[in-house]
Amino acid sequence: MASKLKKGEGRCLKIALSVVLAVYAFSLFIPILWGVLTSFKSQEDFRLNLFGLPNPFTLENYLRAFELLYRDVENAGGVVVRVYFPLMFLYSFLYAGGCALMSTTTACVVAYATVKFEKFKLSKVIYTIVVVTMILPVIGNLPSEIHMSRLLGFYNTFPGIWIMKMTFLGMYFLVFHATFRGVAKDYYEAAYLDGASEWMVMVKIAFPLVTYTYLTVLLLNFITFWNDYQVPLIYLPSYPTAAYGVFLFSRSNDTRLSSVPARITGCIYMLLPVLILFIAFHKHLMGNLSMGGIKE
Amino acid sequence: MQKANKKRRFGKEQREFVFYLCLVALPLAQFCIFYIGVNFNSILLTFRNYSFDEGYSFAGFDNIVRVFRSLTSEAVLKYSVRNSLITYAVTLLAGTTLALFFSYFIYKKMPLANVYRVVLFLPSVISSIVMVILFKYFCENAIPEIWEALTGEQIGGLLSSTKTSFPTLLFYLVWTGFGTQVIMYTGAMNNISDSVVESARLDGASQLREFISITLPMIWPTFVTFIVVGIAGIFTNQLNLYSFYGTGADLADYTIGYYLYRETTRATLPEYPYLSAMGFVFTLFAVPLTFLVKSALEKFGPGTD
Repeated sequence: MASKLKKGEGRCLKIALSVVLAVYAFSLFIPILWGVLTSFKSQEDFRLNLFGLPNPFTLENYLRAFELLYRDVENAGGVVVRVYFPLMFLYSFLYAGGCALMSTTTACVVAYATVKFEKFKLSKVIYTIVVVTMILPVIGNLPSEIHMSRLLGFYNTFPGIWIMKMTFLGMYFLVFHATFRGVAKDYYEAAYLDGASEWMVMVKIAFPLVTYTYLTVLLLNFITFWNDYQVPLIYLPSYPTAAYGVFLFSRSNDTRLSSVPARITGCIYMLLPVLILFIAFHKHLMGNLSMGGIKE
Repeated sequence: MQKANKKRRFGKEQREFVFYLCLVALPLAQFCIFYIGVNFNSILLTFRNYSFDEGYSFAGFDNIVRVFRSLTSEAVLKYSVRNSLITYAVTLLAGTTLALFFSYFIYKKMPLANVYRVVLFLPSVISSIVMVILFKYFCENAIPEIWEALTGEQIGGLLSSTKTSFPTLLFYLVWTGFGTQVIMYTGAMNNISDSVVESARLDGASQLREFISITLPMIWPTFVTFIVVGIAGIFTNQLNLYSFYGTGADLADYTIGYYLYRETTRATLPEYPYLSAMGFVFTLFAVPLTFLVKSALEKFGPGTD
C-alpha cells in the first residue's frame, strides 16, 4: 500500500514537472518566433496583423537594415564618422574574438603553470587569489576602472580592452586547473627524457591534451563577449559593436527606425551567428566542463 | 660529485622558475593593475574630491557621510535598496527552487530531458539585449492585444505601466535565469554515486525523499556557491533595466546595480569619488554578509553522512 502511494507520488511529481518544463520551454520560443515572423512584415502589416503569418512576406527589413542601422560616433581624432551595421559586426569580431582569446589563453597558461610547478609557493597564492576573488564581492569599482584605463591610455582602443580582459580570475581558471591536474605526469617525464625543453613540453604535450577544453571555453567566452554591450558602451565609444548597435537602435529617436519590424530585424541579425554556433556546438558547450569531482 | 649534482639541480630549478615567471608575470601584472590597483584607486577616490580647477583634494569621510545621507533621504536610493532585496529574494526562492527541480528532472533522465537541457541553456547563449528587445515588443504590443481578445478589457504595455513594470521585470529575470544553474546542478548531480541512489531505492525511498535526503546534501557545495556568489548580486543586479529602458527607467523600478551603472555611464571626473564611496559602503555591507551566509550554510546545511 505504502509502496503504491510512493509510486503514485513519484508519478505525480514527474507529470507536474513535465508540464511545468514543457510550458516553460514553449514560452521561451514564443517571443523569438514572433520576432522572426515580425522581421518579415512591413510596418503596415505589423500594425494590422500582429500574430499572423507575414502578408505579404517581405525581405525589405533585411535588405534595409544595413542602410538604416547606423550610428554616428566621434573617432579618436574627434571627427564624427558614420558606422554602419557591417562595420559593427567587424568591431564585434575584434572585441569578442580578441577578448575571448586573451582571457581563455591567460586562464589556460596560468592554470598550467600553477599545476605543473605546484612546488612554488606562488602557485598556491595564485590559486587562493582566484578562489577568494570569486567569493569576495567588490561593488562599484567601475568609476575607478574607467579612471585607470584612461590614465593608462587603454580607453577607447581595442588593444587596451584586450589587455584589460587578459585576466586569469574566474571560473574557467578552475576548469583548466582541474583539467591539467587530470593529465598524467608520465607524459611530461617521457618528453624530458627525449630532451624536450619546458617550452616544448607545454606547447607540444600539455596544450594538445587540453585542446577540447580550451576550445569549449574559448567558444563560451566568445559568445559572452559577442553578446555584451555594456563594456563596449563604456570602454569603446568610438567602436560600437553589433550588440551595442542593437541597443542604440532600440533607443533611437530616428523616425525611419521607429518601425518595430526594422528594429527586430537588427536583433535577428545579431542573433544569427550565436544561434548557428550554439546549434553546431551545443554538445561541446554544455559538455564536460568540470571543476573537479569524480563519480565513484 | 654531490656538489655537481646539487649545482645541476639548482640550475634546473632556476631555469624552471624563470620559465614559470615568464608564464605568470604578465597575468600577475595585469591582476595587480586591474584588480588590486583598480580597487585601491577606488578606495583612494572614496576619500578624495575632484574639481576641474584644483584637481584632486583630500575629502576625509565627506563622501561616505554624503552616501549615508543619500541612502536615508533620497527616494531613488530607498527604492533601489528595496527593489534589490526583493530581486534577490525572488531569484533565490523562485529561481533557485525551479532550477533545482528542473536539474533533478534532467538528472533523472525523464522524457525529453536532453531537449530541455538545451532549451534551458538557450537564454544564456542569446544576447540579453536581443532577448530583452523581443520580450519588450512582445509585452508592449502582443500581450495587450491577447488580453483584449480574451477578456475584452484594454490594457497598456506591461513594461510601460508603473503598476506592472516591476513584476514583469522580475518575471523576465527568473524566466531567463536558469541556464548556468541548471548546467552546474546537473553536473554536480551526475557525480552522485549510483550505489547510494540504488540503496535508497531498495530501502523504498520516494523520489521526493531521494531528492531531499540524497541529492540535495550531495550538491550542497554547488548550492552554497550559487547562494554566496549571489549575495554580491544584491548590489550589482541591474534587473536588465539598462537594456529595457536605457537611462530612463522609472524611479520606482531602480535597483542598486542599475543606479550605480547608470550614474557611472553619465558621470565625469568630479562625480567619481561619490560613486566610489557608494561602492565602498556597499562593499562594507556585502563582504561580512557574504562570509556570514557562507559559514551559516556550511554549518547548518545537510551533511552527507
